[in-house]
Amino acid sequence: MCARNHSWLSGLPRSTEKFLPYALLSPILIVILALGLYPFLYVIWLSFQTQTAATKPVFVGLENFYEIIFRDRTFRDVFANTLVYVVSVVTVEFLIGLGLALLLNREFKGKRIIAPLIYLPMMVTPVAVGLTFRIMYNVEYGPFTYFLDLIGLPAIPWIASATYALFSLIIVDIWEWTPFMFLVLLAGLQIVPRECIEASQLDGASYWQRFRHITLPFLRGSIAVALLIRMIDAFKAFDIIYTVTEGGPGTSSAVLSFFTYIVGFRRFSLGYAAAMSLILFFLILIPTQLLFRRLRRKP
Amino acid sequence: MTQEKKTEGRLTRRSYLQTVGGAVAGLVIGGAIGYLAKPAEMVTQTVTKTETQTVTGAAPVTTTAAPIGAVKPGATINILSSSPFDSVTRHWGEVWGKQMGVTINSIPGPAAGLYDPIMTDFMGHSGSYDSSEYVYEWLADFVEGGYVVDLKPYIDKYNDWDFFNDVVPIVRKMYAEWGGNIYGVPFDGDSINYYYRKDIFNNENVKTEFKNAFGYDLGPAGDWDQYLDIAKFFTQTTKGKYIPYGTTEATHRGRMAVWWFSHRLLGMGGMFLNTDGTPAVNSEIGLKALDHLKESLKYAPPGAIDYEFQEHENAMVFGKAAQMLQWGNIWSDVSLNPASFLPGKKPTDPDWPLGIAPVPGVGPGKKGHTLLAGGWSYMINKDSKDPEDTYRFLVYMCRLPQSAWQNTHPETGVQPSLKSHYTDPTIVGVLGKEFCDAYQAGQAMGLPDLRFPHAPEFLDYLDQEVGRACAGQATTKAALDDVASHWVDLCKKYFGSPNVPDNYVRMVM
Repeated sequence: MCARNHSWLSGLPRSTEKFLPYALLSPILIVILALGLYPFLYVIWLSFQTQTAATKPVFVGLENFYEIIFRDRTFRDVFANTLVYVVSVVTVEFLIGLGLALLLNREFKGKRIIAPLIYLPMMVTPVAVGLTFRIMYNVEYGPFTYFLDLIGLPAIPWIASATYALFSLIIVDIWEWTPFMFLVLLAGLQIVPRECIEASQLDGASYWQRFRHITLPFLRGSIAVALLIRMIDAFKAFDIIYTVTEGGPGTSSAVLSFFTYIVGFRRFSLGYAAAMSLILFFLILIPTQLLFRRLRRKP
Repeated sequence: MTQEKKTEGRLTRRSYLQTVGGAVAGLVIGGAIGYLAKPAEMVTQTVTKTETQTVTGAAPVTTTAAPIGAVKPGATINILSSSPFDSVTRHWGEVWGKQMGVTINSIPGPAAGLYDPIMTDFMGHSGSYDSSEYVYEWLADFVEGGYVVDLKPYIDKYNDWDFFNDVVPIVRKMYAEWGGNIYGVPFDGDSINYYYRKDIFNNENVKTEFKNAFGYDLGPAGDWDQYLDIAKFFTQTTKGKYIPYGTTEATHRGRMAVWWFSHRLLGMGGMFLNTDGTPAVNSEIGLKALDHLKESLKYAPPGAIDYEFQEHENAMVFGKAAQMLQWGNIWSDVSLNPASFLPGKKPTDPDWPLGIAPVPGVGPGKKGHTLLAGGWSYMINKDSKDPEDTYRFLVYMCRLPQSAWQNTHPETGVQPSLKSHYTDPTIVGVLGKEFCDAYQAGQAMGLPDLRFPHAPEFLDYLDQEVGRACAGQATTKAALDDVASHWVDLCKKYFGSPNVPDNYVRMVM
């Protein structure tokens, strides 16, 4: 009714008006289909082929998937690295982010200076973060070695050792993305009704009881969003790995997304890389769907 | 009020005409400004000479000699180069471009990641790059994929055989040729040599202590056992008294690990493939080469296992390592870097502290070969819109006297690739006769790693496993056996047999 009051629509027949929204949306839909759906369908097709830089595609059925899952030892090592990486960064970032959000969910002097400092790392471009940490991790002249020496501890071969390399990358990720968790959870804490908290305080509830029975239920939605987004991003981690270690020494710090890049763009084994990326897609899809359903369940 | 409500949100004819009229006026004005601001076009003359030859018994043959000006005046030629080589294409691009009335657009890219954008451009046929820098490992994929231009017709047309015949034979064969044709213009010699701190090696106290410890005179390492002895002496025996580390190595994932293994494999007389095309990396020599690398890392700076090119070079430039295997640019990078242990000194100074020698195991009466690591050249994209002018620029840039500029400006990273480079007074005057003689001798004994279709996949797997062995994730034998087994799988997948085809084997030997 409102629409038909506008003069430029008043001359249009009703049937045209019915399809008008679709016509107006079609340009952006075409872009999304071209840049999103088409490449995805192409990757699915490519995963059933053998294709390299110098050869045309040859259909091989499920051979790529069979090789990856049952015969590729490197894939299994890298998959294990990926699980360690994702679980570690998401868990630690959540715990630190939640702690910071609870701490800053009150007014105090200096809050306006401290809060921006906390989410500053998130604003630095990941490549710059990676390159800077690479220098800081240097065993000979990096500042970490300097400070360890100041307190009488031996230097740690952060990225020069298969034992520490993945752990070093986890530290970088935690430094960079904990502010994201903090911001989402702090925003979520704003919807917790003050009256409920005050009433529970009057009733003599302890801090832990208030947190468990009042704050946490209201925070479930924000937790779901934060964990989902970070989990998906952690599975797709690439820039930090590329700039800090390139997956080395050996394969000790390689994760699936980076290894897929190596197979696809260094070895140019396109079909194999496409199959690997599909496996990564389902690896991300299944746990995120389970997590989403779990956290969205009404308490 | 009702009237205001009625007109609120309406797109009236007046506002529509104002908007459209403004947009059109803006386009017209903007276009006029752009047209007037365009620099005046170079007036170029394309002069061709027509010659008539009469061949006995045949009709007269009329040939057209090469044009002097640009074939396509006003064209833009895009050249993808890695840093710092892009400084050379930029430098000569400005000079040649002005002369010819074309624009040479030098596009920088990461050395470690050039294969990716080049192949993406090829497979998409976007023609974004008229020419790209490449390493010889990639050439077979480019040729077999039908992506690059055969240069022989242009060489004939412009009579550039003097240039191509002047390229060091092993460099031309390995970097530029495939299947009897020429596809590349060699740009950078990229031969590895052994470099050492001559000033420290000649120190009398050092010489005496070394002789006491190892029973022979200290000198540049003639074989790989001596290399380890020297490394151990400076790092462990004298505990860094004379120089902190006896060696520096580089096994960063991506390229360095496979090269630093390959120096030793070839230097010890080993090969990547047997003559029948089966893998030879896990031979006795291969195992010895990898064990040697792992042992050397113990005497290198901590973190060397993760060293990339610059970190490895800095270990020598900053005066921390007594010996190293490296490309030729280390020779003058020592004087170029203000933070080096010897800033400002020139290679021709009598007290120049660096020495150069063949890679251990390489020389008269020895079995080893020098690794030609990298081998940067330029090829021409078949999708180029101006391949002829692109070719002319590349040859112009790489022949003398132009190439004397990049070979004597250390910041370019370019090393000699022509026979005449070693006698050119400008180059010899800057780099010194000692360097030129040693570099030429090492290059003549050079061999590539792998160069056949899918070689990058073979080499990346070797790089991965060498890295795993150095990191302690696998034993030497397990790592190299895994490589051999994987190479056999790749051969079956791509060549239909468990060995590399004979014609490809001959390309690397």
